[in-house]
Amino acid sequence: MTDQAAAAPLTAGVESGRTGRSWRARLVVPAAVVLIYLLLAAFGEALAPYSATDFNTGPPLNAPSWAHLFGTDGFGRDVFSRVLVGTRTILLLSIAATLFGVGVGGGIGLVSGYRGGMLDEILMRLVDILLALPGLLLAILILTSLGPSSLNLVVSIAIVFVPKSARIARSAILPLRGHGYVEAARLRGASTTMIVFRELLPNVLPELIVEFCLRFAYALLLISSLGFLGFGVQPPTPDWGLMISEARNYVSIAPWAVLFPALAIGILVVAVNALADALASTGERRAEQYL
Amino acid sequence: MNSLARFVVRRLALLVLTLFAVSVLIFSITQLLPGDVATMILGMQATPQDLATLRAQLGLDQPAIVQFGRWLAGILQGDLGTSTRFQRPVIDIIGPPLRNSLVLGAAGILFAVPLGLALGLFCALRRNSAADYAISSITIFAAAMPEFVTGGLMIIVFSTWLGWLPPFAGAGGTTRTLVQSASELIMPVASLSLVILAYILRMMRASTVEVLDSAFVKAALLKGLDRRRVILFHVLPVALGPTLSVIALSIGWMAGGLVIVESLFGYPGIGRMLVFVIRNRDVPLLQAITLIIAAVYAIANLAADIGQRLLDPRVGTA
Amino acid sequence: MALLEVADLAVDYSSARGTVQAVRDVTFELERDEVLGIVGESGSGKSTLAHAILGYRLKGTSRLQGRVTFDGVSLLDCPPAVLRRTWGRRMAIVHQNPLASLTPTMRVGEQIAETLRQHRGATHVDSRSAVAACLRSVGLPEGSDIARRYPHQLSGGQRQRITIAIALSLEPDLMILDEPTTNLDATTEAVILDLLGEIKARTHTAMVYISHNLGVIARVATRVAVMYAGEFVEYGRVDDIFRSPAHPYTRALLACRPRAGQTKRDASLQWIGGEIRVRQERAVECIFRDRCPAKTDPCAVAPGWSDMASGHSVRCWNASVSAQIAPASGPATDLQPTDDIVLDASQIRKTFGRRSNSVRAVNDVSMRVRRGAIVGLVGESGSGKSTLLRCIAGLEVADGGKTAYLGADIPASLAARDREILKTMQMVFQDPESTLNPSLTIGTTLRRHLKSFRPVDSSEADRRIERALEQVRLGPQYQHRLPRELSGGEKQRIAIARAFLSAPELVLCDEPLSSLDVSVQSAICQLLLDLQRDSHASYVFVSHDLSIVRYMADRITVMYLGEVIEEGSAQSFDQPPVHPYTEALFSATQLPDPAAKSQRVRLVGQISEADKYGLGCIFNSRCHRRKGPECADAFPPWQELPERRYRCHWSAPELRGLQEGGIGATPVAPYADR
Repeated sequence: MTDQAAAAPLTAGVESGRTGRSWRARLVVPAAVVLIYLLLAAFGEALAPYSATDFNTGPPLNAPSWAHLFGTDGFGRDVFSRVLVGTRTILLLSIAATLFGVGVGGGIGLVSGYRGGMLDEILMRLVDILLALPGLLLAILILTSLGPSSLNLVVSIAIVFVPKSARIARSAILPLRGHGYVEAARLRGASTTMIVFRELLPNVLPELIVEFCLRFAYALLLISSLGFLGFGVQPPTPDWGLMISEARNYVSIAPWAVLFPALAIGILVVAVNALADALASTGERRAEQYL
Repeated sequence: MNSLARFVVRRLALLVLTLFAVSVLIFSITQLLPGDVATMILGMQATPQDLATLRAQLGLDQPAIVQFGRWLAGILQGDLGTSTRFQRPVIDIIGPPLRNSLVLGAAGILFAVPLGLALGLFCALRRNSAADYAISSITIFAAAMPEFVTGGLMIIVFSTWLGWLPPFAGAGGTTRTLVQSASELIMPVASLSLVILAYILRMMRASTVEVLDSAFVKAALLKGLDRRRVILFHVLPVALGPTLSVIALSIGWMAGGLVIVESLFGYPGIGRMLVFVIRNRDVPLLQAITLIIAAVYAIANLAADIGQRLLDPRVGTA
Repeated sequence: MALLEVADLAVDYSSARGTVQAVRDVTFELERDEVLGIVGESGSGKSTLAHAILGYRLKGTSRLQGRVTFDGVSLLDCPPAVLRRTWGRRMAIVHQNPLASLTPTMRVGEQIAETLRQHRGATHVDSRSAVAACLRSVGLPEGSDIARRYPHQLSGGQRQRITIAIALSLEPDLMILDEPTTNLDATTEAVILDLLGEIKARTHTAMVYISHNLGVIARVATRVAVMYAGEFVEYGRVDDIFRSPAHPYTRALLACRPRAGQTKRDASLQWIGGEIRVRQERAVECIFRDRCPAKTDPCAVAPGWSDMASGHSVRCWNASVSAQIAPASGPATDLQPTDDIVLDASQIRKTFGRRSNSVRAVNDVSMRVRRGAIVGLVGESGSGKSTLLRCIAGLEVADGGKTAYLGADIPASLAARDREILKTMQMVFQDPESTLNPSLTIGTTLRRHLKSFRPVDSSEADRRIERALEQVRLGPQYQHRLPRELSGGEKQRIAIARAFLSAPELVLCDEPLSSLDVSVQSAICQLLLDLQRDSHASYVFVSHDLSIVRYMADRITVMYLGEVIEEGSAQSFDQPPVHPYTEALFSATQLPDPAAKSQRVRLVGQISEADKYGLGCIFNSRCHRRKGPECADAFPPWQELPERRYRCHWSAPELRGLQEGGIGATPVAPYADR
């Protein structure tokens, strides 16, 4: 036995003790914000005072007022209604893309990491190649070659996520591969699927959940960025990124048309990121995996 | 040294392989792009015979593998093809925007890397102090913000409200003074580098904290060494290694950031050109731009690998 | 005035569940030229104490109280600058894990030189020759490039020599050694202990030597403190402690280890029930009361120190009454192996990696196990003993060889084996921390195991699981617990219960004891023997601990570099001749007896992969009994003895002549590291 182990039971609680209290506080606020966004996504359309797509709900480029809380844009559309309705678009797309990407990538990474050997070698080389192109660039290329549609948006973002999630899942499972309980499962004749999903998955789940949150934040960022560039959600569906790029040209006259969608994205992305950060006890370590 | 040389050679070979694989990837994705190049050039009124002749001229009637071979052979001879939109060699078009983007990117790196490393180290050494909490919390905000959001908010505050900075950048061509171009660059550089600044800072903080808790730092302190010597020679070399790979990843991130920031500020770089090129289905130009970005990214990763190896002799010996 | 005076030293940690008292009430003095050995199990606070003596606050320390006076300077309330001048120059510490305590990015020579420069202001040229002198003083060869290497480029033994060289570089008055040999192989440990002995004789440095290993303490210490749950419970000269131990804890610890030549047929080992409890507040009762076999009514009040003899004191109410070591109890088992062969593995071969950098882990190894027998498999790290076990289990697919199990050949690959084979061939793993799935309750783990062999209804499953828990002396409430709520010993018991759920014929034990405390080890040994008596299962028992193997095994197989170099009945190993490597292994065993300081055989150099590919004997480059050129040129034959055989060019009578006077009683071979 080692003395490191000897000291462990005495010192183990120290760090977690301090972070333990603040951990809860760090979790509650961002979780509440995300929850509000989810509610807005569900009921935003009903709450919106105007149709999100109607032109001339008021005079164009009108400053915020009681009639138009966030003002109006160049076509006289109500910015408040558009921001509200846009919540659903971005949340649905991001959640779908993240589930798809992290699910497929995580599954590949888990099996590849557990099995090792040739399969693992080949899969990881493919991952390297996909990762050789910066994420946004790859997403743009895939999306434009597939053609613009919500489904293709989800698919292209998911494809961007697969290699990184595979790597995360693989590196989470690698150190567990030689553990006694895994070998005990092999010795009783359990199949690869059983071992990966019933013995190992529960132990890497916390890491996968953090991965999911980080990817979710990234998906929000990617989708709104694609929208901003005009490759994402197609008009007239209200999209925060697209709203900002449309309003960009008259920002000196009507800053509200940029300000409110920007705040809407900003607050949501920060909340999701803070949530991921609170979930990951070693949040900083993740920087490498996120970029 | 011998093992270092072998390491570098191995990584260089890997770089070549990666670039080849990436060129295959880029070529196949761009082949899938919808729309017919010949129709784009000649317009909808072109006769089928004209289209066929042009296709034969461009080699579009050949199988994909042959087209790929020709493209690759061209690149290796320094010929990036001819832009279908501008009808000029890609190499002539791409120069000025590439230079502009490099200025913007380099400014971002020069801003984010030293500041990120220094603040990260500072936070780690003052762990759990008020300053550390403040800086670390700000990074959570900064790390998550899309560039067009930070940029857009900055435009509202500094151009629309305060009127301090111009809302567009790089539009004036060569007539601008140095001060003018510098003030134009402030907001683009700031919005471009905020995210990577946050990531470099957090990574540096995390890896320094880990090293500070290590047994060898304890051992170095118990040798009676000065605190400064311990930080400089025992903590920094080890903590910097993992941060280097985050810096390399940041350069990849910046490639995406350039597309956004240049579009937002109307800055004439390859990022904005990329958007234009995709809209116009200018495949040769698109291939060239993506390949250049991938190459810069791959070289950054290579440099980070070699840097890590120089800092830590254990790297690559496993 | 003594060199070091420690009085009423107390260290607390703050943790999530409140304050933990790691060290309390520690008082002692240390003179120059003395070695204080501090012995204690994990959780006794000995490493915390080591750092507190230096005035160093480990992470999480919330209180560091008492007095530590080093050469007249009080270390706990002096300014940091004074501490920095003292550390390294006058007090130095050697840590347990040399790889972790050397900076990975700095050449080891520089790590020595910077210490010299810091304290002595030596110039670059001065320090270079001083570094060479330091390396020489710890037996690292001159003229080699060792100073220019990085820590990861050195062997474990060389690394620990470097950390000792750093500690010695400024000839400190006090050296603190915190388990310096714990992570090393036995033969390397023996060499490092020799080195420390030489250093002490040369420099008269005072030392505090901390270890969990009673044998090591008996070897190095002049005085011994026995530490339990943060307190000293017994203190005295080394002979007092090992000859007339007075505290029940000390006596129990000594009785946990087999004495020289003792086997399971002679006596059962003692163990200490329960485990060290973390102390949150000052205990009113004796700290050892809950585990003490000799507790009486007065123990409800913490005892003070009482003197047994001059300089020998103990903290126990009943010390004077029970000064005798507990009398040996009856044999631990009476099961005799039958002639029935359960496992017959022949010519097993396993190579890892691809051509260019392949490692031949197991080379043509054969092994036979009879029903009801325990075959002990010994060898140092890198000997291939675990790989062999894993090949038999099917966790690794052997490249060559045949395995017959219960009279029939079985496939090498796990996937191709019948369920019946899987059911009756079980394994117990080394690391209790990873042997159980951390996210499943004990009940679920056991139930999954049970159901994988045949369908059982839930009430029967419950019954069988309860019975299995009972067999390993754990209550049915353990079913509902998660592994993290269990101690290391309890986890290993569950792992054993899992193995015995399916009525095994053969249990492969891969170092099942090496991560456990001494007092827990003996309990697990007895448990394995009891289960074997009831089930007549056979064991292959892998261990690097020769004393335990000698105690447990009926037959012993010694492996070196992937080959068997000696095998035979366990008791035959007491008589010479034995293979020179076995001789060195025996000689490196540290017995808990200060008088056992006989002359020892020491191995030269270190295990090297290259030795496997020579023409001659794989051991020839390190052998202290080399016969001649044939050792390097020709593969040695088996030399047959009545109950044993070994692979060597020396015939039995020749080797017996060399080893006369007892195994290991030959001059120390001159040491030269490669």
